[in-house]
Amino acid sequence: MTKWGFKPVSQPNKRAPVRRRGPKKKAAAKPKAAGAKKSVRKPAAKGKGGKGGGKIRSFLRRWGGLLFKLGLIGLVLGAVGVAYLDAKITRHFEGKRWAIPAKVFARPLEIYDGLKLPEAQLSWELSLLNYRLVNAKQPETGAYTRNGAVFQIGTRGFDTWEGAEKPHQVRFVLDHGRVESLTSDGKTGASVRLEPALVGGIYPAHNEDRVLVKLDQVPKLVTNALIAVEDRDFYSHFGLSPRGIGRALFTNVASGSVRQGGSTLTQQLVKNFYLSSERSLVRKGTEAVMAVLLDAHYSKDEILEAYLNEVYLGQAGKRGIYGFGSASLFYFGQPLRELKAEQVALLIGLVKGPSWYDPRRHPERSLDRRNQVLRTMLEQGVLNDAEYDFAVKKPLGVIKKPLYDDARYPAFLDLIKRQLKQDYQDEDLRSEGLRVFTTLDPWAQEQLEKAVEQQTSQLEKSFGKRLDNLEAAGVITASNTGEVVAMVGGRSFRYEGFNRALDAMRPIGSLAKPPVYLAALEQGFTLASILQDEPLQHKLADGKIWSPENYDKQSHGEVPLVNALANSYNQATVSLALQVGPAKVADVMKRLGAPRPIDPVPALALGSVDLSPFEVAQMYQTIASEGFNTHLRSVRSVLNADGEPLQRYDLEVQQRFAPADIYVLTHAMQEVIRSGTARSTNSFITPDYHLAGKTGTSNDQRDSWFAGFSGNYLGVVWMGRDDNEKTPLTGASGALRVWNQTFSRLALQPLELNQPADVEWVWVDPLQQVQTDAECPGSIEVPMRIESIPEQTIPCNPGGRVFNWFRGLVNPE
Amino acid sequence: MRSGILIVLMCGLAGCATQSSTVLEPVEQQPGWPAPAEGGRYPSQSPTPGDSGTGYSAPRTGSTSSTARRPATVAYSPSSTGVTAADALLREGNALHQRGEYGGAANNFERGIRMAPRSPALYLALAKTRLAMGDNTNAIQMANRALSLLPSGSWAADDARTEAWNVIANAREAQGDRTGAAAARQKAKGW
Repeated sequence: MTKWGFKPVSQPNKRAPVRRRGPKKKAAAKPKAAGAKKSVRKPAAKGKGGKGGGKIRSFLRRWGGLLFKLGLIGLVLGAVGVAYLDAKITRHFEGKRWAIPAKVFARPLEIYDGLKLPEAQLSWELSLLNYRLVNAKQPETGAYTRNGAVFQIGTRGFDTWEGAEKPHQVRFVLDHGRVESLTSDGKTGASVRLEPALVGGIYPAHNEDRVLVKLDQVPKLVTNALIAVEDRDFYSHFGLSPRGIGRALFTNVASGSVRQGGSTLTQQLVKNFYLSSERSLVRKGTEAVMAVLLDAHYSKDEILEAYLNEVYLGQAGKRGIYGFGSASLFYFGQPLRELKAEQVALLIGLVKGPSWYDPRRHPERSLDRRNQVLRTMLEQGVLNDAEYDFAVKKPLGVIKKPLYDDARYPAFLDLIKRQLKQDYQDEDLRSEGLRVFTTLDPWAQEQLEKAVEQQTSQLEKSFGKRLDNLEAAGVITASNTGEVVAMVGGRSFRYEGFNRALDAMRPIGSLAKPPVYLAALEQGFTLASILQDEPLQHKLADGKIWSPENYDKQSHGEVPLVNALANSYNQATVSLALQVGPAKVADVMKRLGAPRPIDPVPALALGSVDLSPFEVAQMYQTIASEGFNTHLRSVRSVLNADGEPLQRYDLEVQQRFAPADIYVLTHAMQEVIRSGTARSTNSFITPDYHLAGKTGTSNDQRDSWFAGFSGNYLGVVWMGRDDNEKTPLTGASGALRVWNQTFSRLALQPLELNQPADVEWVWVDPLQQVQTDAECPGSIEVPMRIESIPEQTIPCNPGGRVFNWFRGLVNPE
Repeated sequence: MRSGILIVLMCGLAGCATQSSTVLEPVEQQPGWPAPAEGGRYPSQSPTPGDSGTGYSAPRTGSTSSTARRPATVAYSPSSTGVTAADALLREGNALHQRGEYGGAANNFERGIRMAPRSPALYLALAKTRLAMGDNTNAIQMANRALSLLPSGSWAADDARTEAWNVIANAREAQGDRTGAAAARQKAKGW
């Protein structure tokens, strides 16, 4: 790696004897080594006297011996000092130079024919990635054109698990929110990925942020301009530049003020790397020695690369922006290789004073400085006249806010950190420059955030004094694969804090009902089984009498199972749970994915178990993917700093339920939305999607829940108060609103389950438990396991009994 | 502006629940339903054929008036996922599998599953790759997932079922479960 052909790792002292050339290190501490002399002389010259004047010979003769000895001591001391500095230089330069925070990326947006992609989403994603809208035949990398419904994008490309995704010229038609006729570099039938948005980092304690660049990835324009402006003799000097100092001196004297520094890039690097910012002669001297040493040890390119990554270029809150790689993203939202002359000039101008020339806070000053740099670039031949004229007219072009911000999606970051900590040391996450590719879908995330924000404040407004300090949390997953696409941990979702989605353990109320009914279906009940929704007294283990009531304080008599679930009748559900047995219900919950053992008490039927929204999502995930349990995942893969794959998190499923039972249960949960407690959904999303879900309200309305899914997304929303006080909300009037708004903005796929071979749809008269003709009064059509279909079939029976539940209006919950 | 007027009108019609003492209790007609934000209606979504990415477009029964909807009988094709780009990933994945590059193959199939999450062809392909990788547990589970998604009543689907049961049989055998393997082989013949 180094000029000298060795590559120390951590303990340079041990390696000292190996060195063949160059100034001594530890070895030099034992003096008299001839090679040490050259460098030793320098600090002596700078620091204090080693120089004799024109002195009298006799004086020399008298004092010569002593002087010689003193000189020797000085030499030894100097040599020790230099050796120390030299060791210091190599240790830092060759070891791990920087702690590079792990970078966290969202999922890449994948575009292909047939993809549902609302135009609003496409525009938003393009602006999130800072693609520029241009007028051109072929947009360059990082730009796009739009002609009516035809989009053309010059994608950027990025490292992926399976290798590099190259930049492509992509063209497609967006026809009413659907991608068509997509070509990638002229080829059809392909899918292309936009680079994933950087959504955060896992920062080291000192909060230095860096995106490392390698010299061969840095455009010549950047290095040429940097050298032209900061250190013209960089490639010819030995670490110090007497010409540079002279030039600076001349300029400063001529102008009567300090306009130019004479420091070489090497000196600046030394200063940043090893020294404090104190201004003193001693420090200046040390800097000079170290600069010479650095120059002697390492190639110009190595020094330049280190400089490009080290230099301080701005501040984002408590985070320092270091190096051109991160500065490019911070100010322009673009990778360094895409920058134009005027952008390069702005960054190089910042070297002189990142806060003084801050383009966001002092745009005019910054523009002046940029143009001054452009002028120098012209004078030094880095730009020609035409390029200069073009660039100097451009506006600053700085993006309003950085593309990534460690506080943007704190709840999701919290989630991925917890997942990563199972496999990585905290120290590695903060320093090894890992690249973490997550499952976050920023569009879905923003929709969930908006819905939480708007619906909670709407509710507080409409309830006035009866409702304040309302909190909410939510999780959305890809229902088939268990990938978490969005997470909100509270109403202040931009701030790190209590993550309710993961840590608020609340009674799940009626969300426990689907597990009760699933347990019943496994025991041979059908959707047409009749339940008694009557007042009941159940003697508990402690001798107390438990008599649950319905939400509307009424009983509904004989109800088919499907309606009891759709309308969330408590008494019917408790009586069912008692028939099935609480142990069976607890077992079903466990198999669905409940994280802890569940206490098999009768009150379980009404949700007397505390779970977090994330844990509820884990359980409902199993229902939404036809009985297959999948660990909710938030990380897809991790690459190291060089883009090499480290770890991948595979899709794994485990079958926990028979598809037939889930198919039947799902139909009942579709009834919840079609005709039951969640029917308000139909005003937002067409019933053609056949969505399924369940409302949940805990005791005294302390918690408002909704969990529901389409063919591709599952969403769980909780609302309530942190102090666990009562609210006037039910699942339907609270959490469901957030769910409705969010899901109405997602590209949904309809929920159409594959009908298992052992299930058939039949018309049944529940009261008589017989099959009937279609559409008979009092009959319902439900899916049933073939073995539980009633054998007897009778034609329509006009004068039969009429259900209680059919009479009058049903009251949900 | 216009939506504001609309809300006022709707409020009037619904007796504006927020004014009276009856506060919006459980939703019946959503009298005080919060207005859609950003001054507009919620985009009303409507599905389009082929949305479900199943490898078949199911004609919808559409009878929302009736409680029930029977999914139509559907066809299955081993090379089709319902999404062209996912078909390409399936093809590439199969080619990688042939060359023994199982990691790459699995990666392709998982990517395909994200696009067409209910395609039995992709899960079956993934099951075969997991088996080849010696990951018997996941091979069995993926085969089960494919079985749960395969439609009934077509030769192609029956063939796929046979393949899935054979994957399960081989995986069980590799796990040392002879009886389970024999049972799965029996199932494989049964189709």
